[in-house]
Amino acid sequence: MLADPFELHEPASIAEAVALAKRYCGDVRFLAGGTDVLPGLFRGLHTVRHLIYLGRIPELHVFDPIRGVFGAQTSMASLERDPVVRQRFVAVSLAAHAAAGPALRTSATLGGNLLVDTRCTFYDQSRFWREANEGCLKADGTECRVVSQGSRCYAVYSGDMAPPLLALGATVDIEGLEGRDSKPLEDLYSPGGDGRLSHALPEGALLVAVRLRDPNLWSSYSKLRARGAPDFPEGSIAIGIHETDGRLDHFRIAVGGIDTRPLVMNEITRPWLGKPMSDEVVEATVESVGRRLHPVANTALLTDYRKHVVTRFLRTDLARYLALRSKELTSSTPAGRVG
Amino acid sequence: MNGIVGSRVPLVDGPLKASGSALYTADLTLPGMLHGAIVRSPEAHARIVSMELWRAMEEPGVSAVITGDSYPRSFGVLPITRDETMLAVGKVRFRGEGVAAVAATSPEAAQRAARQIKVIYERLPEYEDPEASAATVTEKIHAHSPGMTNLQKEVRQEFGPVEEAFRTAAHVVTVRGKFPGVTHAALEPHAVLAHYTPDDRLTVWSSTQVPHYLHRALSEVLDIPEHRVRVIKPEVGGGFGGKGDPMPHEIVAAALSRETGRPVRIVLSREEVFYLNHGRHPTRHTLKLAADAEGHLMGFDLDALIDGGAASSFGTVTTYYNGVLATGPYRIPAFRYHGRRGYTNRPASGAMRAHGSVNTRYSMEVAIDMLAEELRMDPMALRMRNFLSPHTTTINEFRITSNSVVRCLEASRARSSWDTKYRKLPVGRGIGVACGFFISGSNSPIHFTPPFPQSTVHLKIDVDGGVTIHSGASDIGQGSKTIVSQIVAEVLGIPLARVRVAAVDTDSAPVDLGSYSSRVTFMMGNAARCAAEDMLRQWQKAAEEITGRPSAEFRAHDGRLEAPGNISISYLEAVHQAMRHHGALQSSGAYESPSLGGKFKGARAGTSPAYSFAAYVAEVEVDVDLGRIHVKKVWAAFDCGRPLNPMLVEGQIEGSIHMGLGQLLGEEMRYRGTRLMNPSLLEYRTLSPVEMPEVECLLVGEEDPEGPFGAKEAGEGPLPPVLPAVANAVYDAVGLRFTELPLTPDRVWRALRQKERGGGLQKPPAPKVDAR
Amino acid sequence: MKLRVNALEYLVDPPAERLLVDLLREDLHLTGTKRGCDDGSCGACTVLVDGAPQHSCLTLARLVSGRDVTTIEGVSPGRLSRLQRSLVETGGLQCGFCTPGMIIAALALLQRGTPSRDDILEAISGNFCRCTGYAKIVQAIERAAQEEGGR
Repeated sequence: MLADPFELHEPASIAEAVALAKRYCGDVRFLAGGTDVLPGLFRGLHTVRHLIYLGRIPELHVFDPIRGVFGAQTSMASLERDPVVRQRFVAVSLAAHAAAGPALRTSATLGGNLLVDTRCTFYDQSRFWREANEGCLKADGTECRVVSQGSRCYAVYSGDMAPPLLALGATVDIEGLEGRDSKPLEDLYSPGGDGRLSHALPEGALLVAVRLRDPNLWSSYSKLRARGAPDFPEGSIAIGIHETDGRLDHFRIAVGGIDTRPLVMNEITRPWLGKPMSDEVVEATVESVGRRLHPVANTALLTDYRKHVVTRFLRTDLARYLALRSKELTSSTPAGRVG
Repeated sequence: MNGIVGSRVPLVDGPLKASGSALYTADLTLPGMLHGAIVRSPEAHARIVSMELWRAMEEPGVSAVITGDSYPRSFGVLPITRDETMLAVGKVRFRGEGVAAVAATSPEAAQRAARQIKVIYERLPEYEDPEASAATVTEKIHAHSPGMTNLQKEVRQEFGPVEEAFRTAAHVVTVRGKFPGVTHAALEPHAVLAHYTPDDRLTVWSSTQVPHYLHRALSEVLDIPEHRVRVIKPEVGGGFGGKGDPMPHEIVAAALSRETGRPVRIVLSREEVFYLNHGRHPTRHTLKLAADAEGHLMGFDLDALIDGGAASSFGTVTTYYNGVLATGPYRIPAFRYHGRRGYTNRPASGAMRAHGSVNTRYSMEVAIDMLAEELRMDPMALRMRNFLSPHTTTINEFRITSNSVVRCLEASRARSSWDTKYRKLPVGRGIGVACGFFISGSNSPIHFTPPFPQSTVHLKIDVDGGVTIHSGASDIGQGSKTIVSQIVAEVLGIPLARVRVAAVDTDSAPVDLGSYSSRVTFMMGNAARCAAEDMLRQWQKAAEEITGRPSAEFRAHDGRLEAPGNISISYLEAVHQAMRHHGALQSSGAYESPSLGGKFKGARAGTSPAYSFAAYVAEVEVDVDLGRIHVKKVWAAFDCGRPLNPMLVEGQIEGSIHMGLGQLLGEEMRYRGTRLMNPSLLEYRTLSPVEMPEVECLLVGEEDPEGPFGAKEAGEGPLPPVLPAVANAVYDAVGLRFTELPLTPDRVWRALRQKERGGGLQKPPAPKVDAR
Repeated sequence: MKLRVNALEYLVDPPAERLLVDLLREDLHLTGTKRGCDDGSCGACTVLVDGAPQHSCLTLARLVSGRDVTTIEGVSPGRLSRLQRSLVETGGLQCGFCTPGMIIAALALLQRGTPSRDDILEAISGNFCRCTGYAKIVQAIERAAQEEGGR
């Protein structure tokens, strides 16, 4: 475990951070909690000579669950524990709680989790291991080791936070070279679907905050992992639902841990808007979502099982919503599980 | 009795460990210390064509670079199979083998320099499958394998009328088992600090289970007389067999220290620990059991092939153990075993907790469950019908002394409410039983000529009144320091606080063969008891001198020596009286194993002065949807003779269950070919606390006639029964037999789907003959 | 830079790539904090930073400048705390290598009030132990929590 020497910058403002990123363009990484970037550095997955630490920038620490604004440096631990988050954004709190172990969640940040490096058995290895394997598409090589003759990389988005935030329709504030911009969270991820890119942020752009608008959505998050703790997801699913007068006006589903980026199932859920949630919707949705899942064998568990569990979660979570709905149309009862 | 033995005494080194003050090898530094790093082979099987070292030599802070060519002497834990070298000589045999080493001023400088060493390899055919190793090969991994094979060891044993048994049996069941390798994953990565000093003496501090074997290997490989080598064992952060062999990096550090004239420390990374391995052998076997119509076992037949990886390690013993440790706890009238161990180009397999017995035990206990079903008998009743009695001999001439397996089975049956649950729980819930049998120390020491005692303990007491225990036995976390303290304090009738255990230091401690084969409590315990009794006699004699009463009348109790008629003196008075003659008092005790075993080839493998017995019941719930096996509770009835410290015994049982369930449910050295896919604690999945079931320990053993205060082992025997107990419970729950491990949720789910397609899940049929 | 460890101030100047665990162990000789893996999965290196548990092997030393670090040595110097004593007396430690990290993780939990059994399992779920099977660790923490509560 050996990191090449690097310079550590500790800017106090976003402007300063972006300027530093521009100055060292091509040889720089932002450092948030460090739980992803540091192991990567020590394994030689990233070889940059400049790290820009974001923890000293007050604006990135904004934590306003009432208004639904969370700075990128918000720790996973605070998302998990904050009573207001727990009440208003159930799936967010469940997902934060399901990540790694408690000590890791102290350091790990919301921004870091959203932009976490995609994972693959052939990539998340030491420099020695990868060299002995002659590299892969994502690092030091030219061939994919998972899919023979694969021309793209299948490394998996393995964060916990994107699915719930996507299901709740989050937007993100981004500080780029042309200034501040706000866009849907979906846009953070590469549409091309190549695992070499963990996200679609241009180099030097900085994720500032995540915004959630509607605190009245029902939401759930369920995660498949090998053990009770502390593993990465090998499949996860989040749902956000809202009905007004018995008709869906918000219905979103997002899947993590399966593809190179979190998958948002808008084309499956959108047609149901304006209609009531029902068994028919559940059946059709589960089937359509199942058809969208194509995991490849780059994590420990069998791919057909990962697909099965994710659709199973979807079915039980939707059923739970339906059961609740039949009692009263309400929100914010915790749903989801980690298994 | 003074009540110290048999009570729940906390670890004597507990306060040091709980406060972070206990020192492990990686915590030690010496002035001028350098740091070593090892260059490892990216190839699994290759000739070393050339090595370019000069770039590394020119890196800042580098003091020495060495290669295997300068240290070609081979070593190995068994003197009959020395096939490891400290760094590869001429060719590499597994990915991760050391080829060169560097000493530099910091770990980073050493690693940086190591990266500058360029090695050119010429690839050789790689062998990943022991089946292929047993056949004709084009390239031998080791020259000494017979013919053109990569076999390391082959064992054939046959006792009793095997052919006849299987021909005439009313029932024959067959289990084809497949088990991946698993590894120790002790939390402390291996570490060593070596200092070769100008007086031509070598001192090595190492995280080892057996200082004595390391002592020998250092002397042999480095050609330093044994009397100039000193091995010190600081605290060891867990072993489980993984620190039982002398390991290459220990010798490398010593060599680097001699080259540089400075102390050298090497701390392995977690990944390097995975390449060191020496863990449980990947195994494939076919096990057959024959029984008559009443359920009496008639014959046992096992054919096993185990993957030894690239070195022998303990493998010759493992090959025997896979067979011979199945001759208990049941009466086996006819026994046949064919075992083979093949070399492959993977990290070496070796000894791991419950060495050589886990996989066979699994299939055997599953086979008995199958037999019970064929016979429509309760599996407990079937077992009861076949147990060995106490004080008997097995078919392969193991001498059985104390044996409480019947009490074990009765206890776990009663506590688990077996009779109301077996085949009676709803689909998805189940209960299962399995038994166990393990040695209390290998009766034949590895180095058996000349026949020295297996364990010796020295005691010393001076004017301060504290008794110092010198022992070469290694406390690796199991609590042997505490046990030896309890024994000495018990005999001498003094408070535990008056006893202290000196660190294991081969300069001052008498030889003990170390912590493996569950030998320490039994062998060191007996040696300690003898030493303490010798010391007590000196005190009694002094008491006689003081009081005029015959020495034999004095009993040691509560820090005093007491004789009938209210005669009582403090032990210190007696000590000081005795010291007038020759100063500080010393005493010595030794344990020599009895002469055991038959006259046939391999007869000594598996002989032990005593055996532990076990009967476990496990209750499970299978999540049919998600394929998850939730182990709800384990009733662990164990016969360790008399538990000298029930709290520590429970700790061994609970830890064994954690490790055994890990192997059953998730742990796996996952290979693609020769490539280890998961060399990290994140991807090598031991159970998290969340999966750990409730465990109820039932210590029901009776005193063993030869064990210290009646004790037998409790370190390894508690592991094997839990795997088949759970597997049998899963069968009870959903009617699925698993004979390949691990039972990860995805594999269980697949099997469940298949079963559902074939007619749905249901309870297996209930027995006609119940447990009574 | 200034660094507060166990209520003592240190003046240190670590290079940027120095991890907190190495600074503690190699530079300050506080070897109670252990290194068991290299990827933040084992928890043996857990320390408190401003009262919250954190992996010191995933923390750059420079970034704790000005913050309060507590290692196992600072938990209860010179004598055992209730939690430490409970671990010893209950048999919640064997080889002792995971123990410092385990104690720090449990301490962070106990500071938040009396935990349930599930809270305890959750709090130590990032800390590996290979010896005890966790059973007696959980018991020990429960016991310490009860004593703490009944104080």
